[in-house]
Amino acid sequence: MKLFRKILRGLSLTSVLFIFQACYGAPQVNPDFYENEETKTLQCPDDAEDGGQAPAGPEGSAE
Amino acid sequence: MSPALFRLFRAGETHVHELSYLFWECTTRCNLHCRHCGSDCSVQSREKDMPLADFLQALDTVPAAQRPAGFTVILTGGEPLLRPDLAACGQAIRERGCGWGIVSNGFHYNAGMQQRLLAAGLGSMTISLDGLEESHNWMRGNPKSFTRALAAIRLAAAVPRFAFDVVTCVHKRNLTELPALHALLSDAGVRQWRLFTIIPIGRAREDADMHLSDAEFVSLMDFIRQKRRERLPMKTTFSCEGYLGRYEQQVRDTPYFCRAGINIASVLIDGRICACPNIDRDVFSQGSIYTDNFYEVWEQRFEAFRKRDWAKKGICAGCGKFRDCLGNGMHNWHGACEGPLNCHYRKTLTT
Repeated sequence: MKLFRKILRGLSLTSVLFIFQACYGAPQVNPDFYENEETKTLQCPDDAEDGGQAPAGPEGSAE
Repeated sequence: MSPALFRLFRAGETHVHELSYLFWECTTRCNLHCRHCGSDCSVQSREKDMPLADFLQALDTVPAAQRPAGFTVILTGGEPLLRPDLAACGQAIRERGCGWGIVSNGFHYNAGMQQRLLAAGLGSMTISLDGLEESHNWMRGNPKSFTRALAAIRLAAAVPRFAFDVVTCVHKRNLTELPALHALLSDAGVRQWRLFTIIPIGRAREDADMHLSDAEFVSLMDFIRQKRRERLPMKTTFSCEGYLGRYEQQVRDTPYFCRAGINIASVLIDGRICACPNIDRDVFSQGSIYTDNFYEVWEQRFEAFRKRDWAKKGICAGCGKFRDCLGNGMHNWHGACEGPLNCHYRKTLTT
């Protein structure tokens, strides 16, 4: 069954069947996202201007 | 694809039940107080954030050879951006060869945060936008939430090859705003827009404004179908929340298939193991990462998700569409499970 599935995956017309996301979830990560030259450069540690830290104060709180 | 062929495909997928999508409910703290929240999240949650080490111990039970390309961990909540160690969590997940993403309200997402999270391997994100400014802020209970979410959306949409989409909960107040919202998101550079409706759980249970009538639901289907026919750069899609009868394959890329427990699992805030976090955890949890081996639970339990004959009750008992629908999405079964909370198919019968 797993071999059959691998063959199916290889056929471009059917590979869309294997891409999904949970109703309330985010999309699955593109498998090539971490290898693509265009996006690789995004994934190097750098000093963000504001540090990108989680908020410390109550801003955004509704209560 | 014919329904019969798709049923065969679905049966194969169920038999293999390859785990490829794992939710981690990493916090139940939230900075907003949304009217439709199915989790009843709040600023001061009763539950403490789950320690990263606890989650990693569960993730590490999944053999590397059993993780397919694209295996994705989605950090959800609550609001994951409230975790001070979010980047460290993502980094640790990434170091294990997994992709990771978040579901966020976008309020605290800014350029610095984006840079830091991308550096930690963030590969996927969903941000919620529930209408134009007035209705979004009404829904989210914060006067700044629209402006902040839209700014976050513009940032994320500019990242190349990023698996990013915007979701909108459609309800009575924002249904007529959808064309304007479509234009707004298109202008912001969004490539994927996903619409869904609200199930009557959590705070949304008693709020009549949250729930579309059958005729309104059909108008939503017609709107999505029309936008897809226009083949615009931004793809509009209905979520996988339920079986849609005559609208199947017209508002989504693939036929309806609830993959909860078939490809999707979750580690919930208290360590329970389930599928999507909006599924009734008191009824369908399969174990706990604190007492069980996570992957053994995945392999050996989850029978209620993989054999759905038990759902032939209530309005599903004699329904001719059961073999395609299997009782609708698992999140539609709560409490005593006497029938689904929602039947999307019945709604589509309205003309």
